[in-house]
Parts: sequence; structure tokens; C-alpha cells
Amino acid sequence: MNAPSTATLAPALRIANVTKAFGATKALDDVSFEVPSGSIFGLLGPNGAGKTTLFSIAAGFLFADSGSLHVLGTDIAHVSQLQGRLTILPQDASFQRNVPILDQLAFFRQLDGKDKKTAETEVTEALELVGLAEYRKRGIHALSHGMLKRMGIAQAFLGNPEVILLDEPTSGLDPQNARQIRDLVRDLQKRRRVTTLISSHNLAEIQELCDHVAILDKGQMKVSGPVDTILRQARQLEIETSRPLTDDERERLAKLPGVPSITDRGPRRYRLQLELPEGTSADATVAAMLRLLLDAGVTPRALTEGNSLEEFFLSVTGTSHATGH
Amino acid sequence: MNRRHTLQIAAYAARTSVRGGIGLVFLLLSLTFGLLVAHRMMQPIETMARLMVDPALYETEEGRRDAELRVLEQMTEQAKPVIAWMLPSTPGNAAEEDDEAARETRRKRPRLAVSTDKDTEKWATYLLEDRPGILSAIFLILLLGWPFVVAFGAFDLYAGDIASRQLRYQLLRADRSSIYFGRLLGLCITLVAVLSLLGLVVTVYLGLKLGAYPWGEMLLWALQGTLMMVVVSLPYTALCGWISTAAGGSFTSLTLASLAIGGVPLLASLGSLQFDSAQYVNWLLPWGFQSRLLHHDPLQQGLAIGGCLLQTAVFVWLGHRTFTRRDL
Repeated sequence: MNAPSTATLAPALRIANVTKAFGATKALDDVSFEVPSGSIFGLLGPNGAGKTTLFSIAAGFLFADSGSLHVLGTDIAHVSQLQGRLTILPQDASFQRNVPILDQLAFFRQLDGKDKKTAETEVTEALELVGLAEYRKRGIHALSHGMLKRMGIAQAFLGNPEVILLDEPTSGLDPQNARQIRDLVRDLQKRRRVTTLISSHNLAEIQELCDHVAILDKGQMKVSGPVDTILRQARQLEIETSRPLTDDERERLAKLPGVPSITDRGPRRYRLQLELPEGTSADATVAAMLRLLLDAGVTPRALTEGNSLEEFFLSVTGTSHATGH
Repeated sequence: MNRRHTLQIAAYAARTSVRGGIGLVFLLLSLTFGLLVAHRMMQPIETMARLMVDPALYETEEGRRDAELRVLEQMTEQAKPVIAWMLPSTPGNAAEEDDEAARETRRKRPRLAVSTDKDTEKWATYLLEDRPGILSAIFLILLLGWPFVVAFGAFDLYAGDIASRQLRYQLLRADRSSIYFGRLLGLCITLVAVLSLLGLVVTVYLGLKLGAYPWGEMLLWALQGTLMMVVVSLPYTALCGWISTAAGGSFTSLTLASLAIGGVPLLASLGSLQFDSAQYVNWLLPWGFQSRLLHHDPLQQGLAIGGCLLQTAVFVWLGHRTFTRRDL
């Protein structure tokens, strides 16, 4: 499920009491959280929650009305001092229309201090990563929407960034390319311990990719922390069995200590609510449940402790996600 | 501000400006405007020369040149009051301006005779006789229209890329001041290149077509005129740059830049129908003194250059302030 946590205590991003308003609309309201160094951090929230605003402030595009934001220990007011250590895939930024892709991206690397030849070599490598090397001498008019997104990602992967901000990197990509981008992010984290802050509407993707997560809703931070810890906050077990349970078997499960109720989640899926003392592990309950099922001749096919990210997300944001607000 | 970044951005902006549609339009507009002015100045000379001499004589190179020179001399004489009218009154006329009766008399005089004081006449003579007159006239007309051409070149200095968020890719790699000054410098490099090309083309065109002035004299005057065109471009470029940093999009920026550049002299003209002092509105931009860049008196010319540079500094400061404080 989740990538193993490689996070250390030193945060790559420290966001403290950030507030930003556009006229009367408060896009971010006193948002604070930290992104551990070396983590893949998912930023979730319904449309209009303030994710892109937060990314834009973190990259120095927008100024916060109040609060502070540090990236790799540098105040974001001096973002250009990071010189290629921080890169971003902005959500809706465009490239120059009439300049070849290679020239545009090489110019960015030259600003990072590389000579022209090295810059062009690095750009070609980055374009190869996203499958666009053959288009390097052409303008962006030759690229489709998905290809433009991949060009933006190549731009974000240029050089040796220590922190990458990816604002909805897989939206508009076909499943194959989306998978490729996820693999790239994972690979960068494993090989170079690159910290990645990623926003996405694809909750399964975030759950698969990220070790830490934060949920924003209407500009306010709802929850932040390691994915496993957050999901386990919901004291429940979900089990899939080899055959449907009989009423008697369901009753015996419901009588296990710390299990006040059991609900059907499908023909062979059941959810057990847990009521355990604070700080108590669910291990004993899991063992008892498995013993009971095996004794009854039922084979457990899958067992999940806690929520899925989607359920947790919906429980935190209410119905706003479903209605698209 | 990082000097390396500023120079890199300037070089990149200058290199890629013509590739963009607006850069190309600016280049074509500049050349078309300059050549059109040169052609319009030359056409009456050619036409009148044809009419004045025997057609058989006009067929020979010597006859044609002789006829055109005679026409040029006559036209220079006749153009003097017109040129004098185009030139603003010099500060030496302040006493006359203050005199109510003199002002009333001036109002009643035919428009063409306005400002034909001694100093202005001397100035007109300098432009038409001491220097290649046709070239002087071309530069005077170019000075009148050039600010609008500059608006076409500079309106999209920042606005378009702010709206399309293209700037965001650079913002992580260079500080805002470097981006602001780099782009401004890049446009100035483009302007110098375009103006040099324009000056060269007009001079060569005049030299080959008319042959009335020695090449050395013409090239020297063309160089000075081009330099003054560069100087007058600076405050208008900085003004458009400021507007471009503040506007939400390219169209808004172009509209505001055109309104500011055209609105100042319009307001001054309309206002001066009621109040003479309204003409000083022109001094908000170089309109009030820019023709003095071609003045015979080095002090007047120096003051005009100083005025242009001062206004440039003010507009650059305002633009920089806006660019470094706004959301991008």
C-alpha cells in the first residue's frame, strides 16, 4: 500500500499560520503544517479548498497576507536563492509558443547556473524520462494536452531538485502515463530522497504514493500526518471472506470483545466497528476474529485496518467533495 | 538583483522577441512607419521636379538630380515656418507668454505663425540648412509618432506572461528584480537594434534616391537622430513597462498604454483652448520637450536628455515596485 516512510524530523517545508484572501474570499485561513524531508506528501482537498493557492505561495508566485513559509530552511520571500533545489509543476502555467522546447527548458537550467551544453544534455534526459525527447526541437504547438503536462513534469524534474511541488501532475494523462509519473516520483524518492508535495483528486493515487497527507477544506487545514496513522484513527476492521457469513457467524463476530457492531459492505465484505481503550492495539481483536472465521471454515481473503483514504476524506470534508464545491 | 540572471534574461528576451507575434509586429510596424515617413517626404520632391523641368532633361541622371536639388531648396525655404510651428516655443519667450495682450495677439494670429520667435527660427534653420533638412524633418515626424510604436513594442513586456502564468517557470530560478530588469533591458536591446536598422535604411534610401547631401554629413546626423530616438524611447518604454506590470492582460495593457501616451497631448491640446497653462500637461511625458532632443543649443538638448532619463527612472521605479509586490 503505502511507500515506506523515509521521513526524518527536519521538515523540507514549514508552513506556519498562512492566510491568503482574494477580495472577500479567504482562500487559506491560518494554515499550518510541515512536510518532512524525504517524504512524498499528498495535499488533498475539494475544488476551491486552497491547494493551488498554497502551492503558489510555496513557490513564491503569490504573497501570503500573513504567516510564514520556509522551504529547505529558506524564507519563501527569497525563493530564488534556492536555485534549482525547489522546482514546481504549476497547474495552469503555459510555455512560450514559438520557441523550441529544448531552448525553453535549457534556458531554465542556464538560470540555475549550468552552461548551455550541460543544460541541453540535462533537458534531453528529462524529456526522455517523460517520452518527449523526439519533440525537443519543436514548438509546443506540436504537443497535445497530455504531452504539455509531461513537458511541465520534465521541467520540474530538471537537474537535481531536493523539493518538487506537483500540482495535479496526472490529471489529463492516460493511465499508462499517469503510472509512469507515479513511478518516477517513487524512484526519485528512493534514489535521491527528493521531497515531493503532490496534490491530486485521485485519492487512490495519493494513498498508493504518499506516506504523509494533509487535507484542506475551504481554506482550512483539517488534518495532517502520516497516512497510516491518519487512517488508523478510524477504529474499524474491514474483512473480505471466501463466502457470505451466516447470521450465526455474524452474531458471534459481533460478540467479540471491543466489537459493538458489524455492517455489511458487500456480499462477502463486512465492517467491524471497534471500541477499544485509547492507545490499545487492535491486534487481539484481529487474532480473535481470524480464529473464529477459520474455525467456522471461512477463509479470510483480505483484511484492512482503518479507513480507506477516500472514506476518511469524505468524513473530513463532508459532502463538499461529492458536490464538487 | 542578480547581474548574471538579468543579462541572461535580457539576452533571451531579445533573442526570442521577434519569434513571438508581437515582436514581429513591432519590427514590421517600426520599419513600415519609418519608410512610409521617408517616402512621403521624398515623393513631393520627385513629383515637383518632374513638373519643373523639361522631360527630356529629367531623363538624364544629372538633369534629374539638378531639378530635385532646386525643388529641395525651395521646399526647405517654404518648410521653415512649418518646422518652426512644429517646434515648441523656447523658454526665452516666457515674457511674451506672460503678457496678456501678446497672448491675445498670438491667439488671433494664424496657427502656422505661432512660435516663430527668433530662437525657434534659428532652430528651424539649424535643422533645415545646417543639417540635412529632409532627414531632420523625417526625425521630427518620427519623434511625433514613435511613442505609439513604442507602445506596440512594450505593452506586452510583462502583461501577457503574467496572464498566461508563463513567468512562473522563471520565478523559482531568478528573483523578481532580475526578471523585471532583464526583460526591460531585452526590450531596450531590441529597440536599439530596430532603430539602428530603421536609421540605416532611411539614410541609405535618402542617400541613394536624392543624393543632395554628403554621405558623411548624413550618416553623422542620422546617427545623432537615431540616438535621440533611442533616448526618447526610454521613458515611453518604462511607462509601458509599468502599465504592463499592473495590467491584468495584454489587451488591457495595450489600451492603457495607448491612452496614456495619446491622452496626454490630447488633454493638453483640449485644455489649452481654455487655459494656456494646460499645455504643461505635455510635460508629464516627454511630449513637452522631446523635440528639443534635436535642438541646436547643447544646453537645451542636454536638458531634454536629462528630462527623458529622469522620467525613465521614475517609471522604472514604479514598474519595479509594482512587479515585485504583486501576485504573479
